[in-house]
Amino acid sequence: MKLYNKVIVVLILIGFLPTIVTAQERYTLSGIVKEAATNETMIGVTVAVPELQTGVITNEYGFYSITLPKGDYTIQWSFVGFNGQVKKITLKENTKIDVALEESSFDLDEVVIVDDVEKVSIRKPEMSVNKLSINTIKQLPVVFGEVDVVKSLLLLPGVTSGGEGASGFNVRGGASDQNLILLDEATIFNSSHLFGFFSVFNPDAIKDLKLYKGGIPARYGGRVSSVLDIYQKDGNSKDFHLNGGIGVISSRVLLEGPIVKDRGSFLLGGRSSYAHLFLPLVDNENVAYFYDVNVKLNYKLNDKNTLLLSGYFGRDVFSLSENFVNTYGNSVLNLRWNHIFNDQLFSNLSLIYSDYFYGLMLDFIGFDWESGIQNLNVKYDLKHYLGNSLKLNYGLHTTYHSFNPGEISPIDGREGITPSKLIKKFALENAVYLGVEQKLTKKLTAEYGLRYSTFLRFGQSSLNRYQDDQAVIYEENLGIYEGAEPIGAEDSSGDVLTSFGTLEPRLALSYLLSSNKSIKASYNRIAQYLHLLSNTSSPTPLDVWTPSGPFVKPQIANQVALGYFQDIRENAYTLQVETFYKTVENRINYIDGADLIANDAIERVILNGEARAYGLEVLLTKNRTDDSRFTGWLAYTLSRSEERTPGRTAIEPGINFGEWYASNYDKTHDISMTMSYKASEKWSINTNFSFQTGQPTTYPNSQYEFSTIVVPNFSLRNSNRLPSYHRLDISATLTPKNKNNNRWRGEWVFGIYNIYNRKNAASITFSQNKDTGNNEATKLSIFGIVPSVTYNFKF
Amino acid sequence: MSDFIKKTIIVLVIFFTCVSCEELVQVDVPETAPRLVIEATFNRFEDENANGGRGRSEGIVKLSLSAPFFEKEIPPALGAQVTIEDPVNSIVYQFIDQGNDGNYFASFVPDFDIPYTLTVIYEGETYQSTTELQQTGMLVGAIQGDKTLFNAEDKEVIITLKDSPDSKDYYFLDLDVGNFLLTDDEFYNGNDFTFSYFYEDLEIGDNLIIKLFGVDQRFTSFFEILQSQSGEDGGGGPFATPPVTVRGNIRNVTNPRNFPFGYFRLSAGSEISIEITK
Repeated sequence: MKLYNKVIVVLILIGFLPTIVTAQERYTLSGIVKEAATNETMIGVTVAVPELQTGVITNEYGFYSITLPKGDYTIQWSFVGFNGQVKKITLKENTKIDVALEESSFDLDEVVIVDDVEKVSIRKPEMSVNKLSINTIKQLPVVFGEVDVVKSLLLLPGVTSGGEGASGFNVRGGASDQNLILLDEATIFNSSHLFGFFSVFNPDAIKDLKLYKGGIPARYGGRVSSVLDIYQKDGNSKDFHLNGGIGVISSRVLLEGPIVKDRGSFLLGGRSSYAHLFLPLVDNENVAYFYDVNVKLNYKLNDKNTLLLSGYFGRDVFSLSENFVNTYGNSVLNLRWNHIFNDQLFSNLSLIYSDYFYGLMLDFIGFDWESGIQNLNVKYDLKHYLGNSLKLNYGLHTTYHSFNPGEISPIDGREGITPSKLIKKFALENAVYLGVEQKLTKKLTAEYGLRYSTFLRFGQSSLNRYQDDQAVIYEENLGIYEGAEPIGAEDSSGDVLTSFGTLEPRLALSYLLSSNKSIKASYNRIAQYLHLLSNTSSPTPLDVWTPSGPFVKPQIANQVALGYFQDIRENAYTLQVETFYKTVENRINYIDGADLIANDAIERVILNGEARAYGLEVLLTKNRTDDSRFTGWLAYTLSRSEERTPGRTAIEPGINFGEWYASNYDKTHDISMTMSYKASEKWSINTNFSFQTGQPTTYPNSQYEFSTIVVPNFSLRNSNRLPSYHRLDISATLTPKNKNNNRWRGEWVFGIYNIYNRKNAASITFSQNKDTGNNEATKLSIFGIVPSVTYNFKF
Repeated sequence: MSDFIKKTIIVLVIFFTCVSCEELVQVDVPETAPRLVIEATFNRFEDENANGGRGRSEGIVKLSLSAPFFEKEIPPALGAQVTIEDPVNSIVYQFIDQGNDGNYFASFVPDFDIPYTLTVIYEGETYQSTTELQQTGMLVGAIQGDKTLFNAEDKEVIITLKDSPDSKDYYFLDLDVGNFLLTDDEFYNGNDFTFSYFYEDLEIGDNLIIKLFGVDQRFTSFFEILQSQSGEDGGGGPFATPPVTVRGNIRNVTNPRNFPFGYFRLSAGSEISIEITK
């Protein structure tokens, strides 16, 4: 802690120094930028000051603040797809200007200011970050026409998944439980519906999202690989509107409107899939569906205070002839208070409750099973705009975690099953951070900071003790790892079992080579104290989270990245080239035959492993400009993602003989090309093409027979590859002319996924054909050609 | 218990991939030198009339070799010396391959609390394993039910087993026609535990013999991996665990690196039969 204090002091000194040196008559320009039509606050709007070649962008709540020397300026507020605003001001006192931007029509003759948007990003040290606007996401052709936030991320460089139908996503070779997914600042534990076919985010309710793959700022922590920061809309505080869409898989509606005009608004969104859709088994009373509800209330108390309440509730439900009922999902409730202390200091206080529930009823065994994780999270974040060359972010985060690894109870009093509860686990996670964004020289900008995180694992009703603290033993004669027998157990309720503390330095630098070229470098160290216990290629909803503690150490990631950024032809194109190297310590792995479900002594089946990933990412973006109908991007990633679990002693082989092996989601080459063409007022056409090296897999090297079963034998893990994956998708959006000039606006989206019907291998499995007795290799492909049509409306 | 949960997960995934398609493909698989496979399984059932009241024992030592994956024949391992030693009563049982087909027989009835040692000498290398007879629970009921799970043609059999309250028990159920299940008494210790099993492809008039064996924890994890790797998700799919080389409880004393596949298992068993009537 002492060290930490010192570091803070030093950081502050470094931070303040330039301000002191350059102290002169300076005033602050601040305000909030909103969409004119809806009063929705806008994130990432560029506020440019051409006279000083400087600028700032609005934060997550639409707030901006920039401190400039006294003088006359031409301030430009601009955002892609919106008509910019220009105001000449004489800055001679602290000034507040709230701006409302109007969405630009697609009339190509109209002059649209898109100045400086990319230039600022060239200067900003922020790297390894991808932003996707919800409009872009909505236009991408997708399977069944279901707009999907997570699937659209896969088109970005450095993002892969375990294949179609696999849940989650993998960033720069990280596992899917290493992504911090924030929905309005609240952590979402499971981002998938229907085992990964769809994501849990209702696209209508989303305003903006940002994916941090590296150079992660100090204000984020707790997951080592990436941050997916998603913001929901506030709701229209001017008029009532109804949005919606009718699709093949699901339909959605979203109602928004003012509570008090121009001051408060609400948003209520719902989405549901159609039951029985996947079920060709007509004889059975089977149900499979998902739904989710998004709620947001937003009330501006006065100029300085705004309250925001957001909620999310989602569930997946499966039931097979009432013999088997499976329900799971997230719920999140979040109350935020935005307070503007003064024109330079913006604060947000969040109180968040987040819950993941998994329930399973198995009538044929006679039990009910429930598990889950709950957490209560308080965050206080401040943004301090000290000058046009200095901004501080600092704050405090604390989270109380409660883990329910499983509870079992007999159904309707049937005998046989003894009700029992697995031991609940509790922990407290805290962090303080300070981040500094600072323009050091005209060409060099830095964003640096420090996060200090602590994790206290609290005592539990029973914790096993083992000989020499070894919960896993190696049986040398047989070459197998086995769980050790406990030599006792202790009740440690009320104590702190283990505490961890990690200093997490973050640094990002940007050096401007010329007005349109820059190089950037970043380093981050992040600790992750929660682990998802999952031994399958892709996580299942049943997997439980477990905290670090006496037998499980926190995962620690170190990542360095280097990048080159260039604007080409007056910002018509942007080129980003990045290379990264990342290591993760304490990635847990599992002994052969490990049983992770309903296991009260998980320490008996885990081994400590590590992971590393490195790669090169290229992203060429065609930006929207006045004279072009094309936008899109080309992404290429060359990478390697590996894991290793060495033996703990020289005689132990570890896992896979202690050798590095490719992760399940390792893709050597990954290319995606996305193009959007605005053909006319009515039609726009989107395509995307993906090519990926086949996923690693393991082929059998022999077979034998045991107990009448033909057993394929496997050797080195993931040493083979599935055939390459590629597909082309296309979609066309028809927006009929609004003849009667009424409020109803409709839009048809016609799509074809995998247009040349490639049967991409999701897996190749090896087994005996029970009828012929021959061994076979069977390729499973998930989606062939899938046409779809969706109707979206706005009223 | 979690075997049940795992199964349902796997089934759910298959159920969801109805939109998907499967096809047979040609794959060049790697090959490796053959290993000895030892399946030494002895099950002892209560029977007052057999072996002077000690019970009826069934089992053999079956020796074979592993083969390339797409090979049609699994070669037997012939000409081995196979013994089981009872150190308490100083008896060595000699096993003979009468049919010259890799099936080695002897009259062997295991008793509780004796550490039996299996020794196989094959091609100059000695393989050994030591284990004890495992106690079992009792199958006390098997009746047919009317429910189905995935197919309307499924046949439900409701099975009840009686668990002993004094011990932590691991069970291996041979449900006949190639169906196996592993379970332990964590959630039903000392109870009569009733569950349903859904059979595919059964006809009215079929007769099933269901057997319950006591096994050790090591066998549970051994067979669990073996089963998951040989089943429909053998070696792949998003919800499959990473495939591995399955190691049992037999070692090669001469050359540890040339370890065998297989298991030496001594189980007390209980059986029950049921005729499919509807």
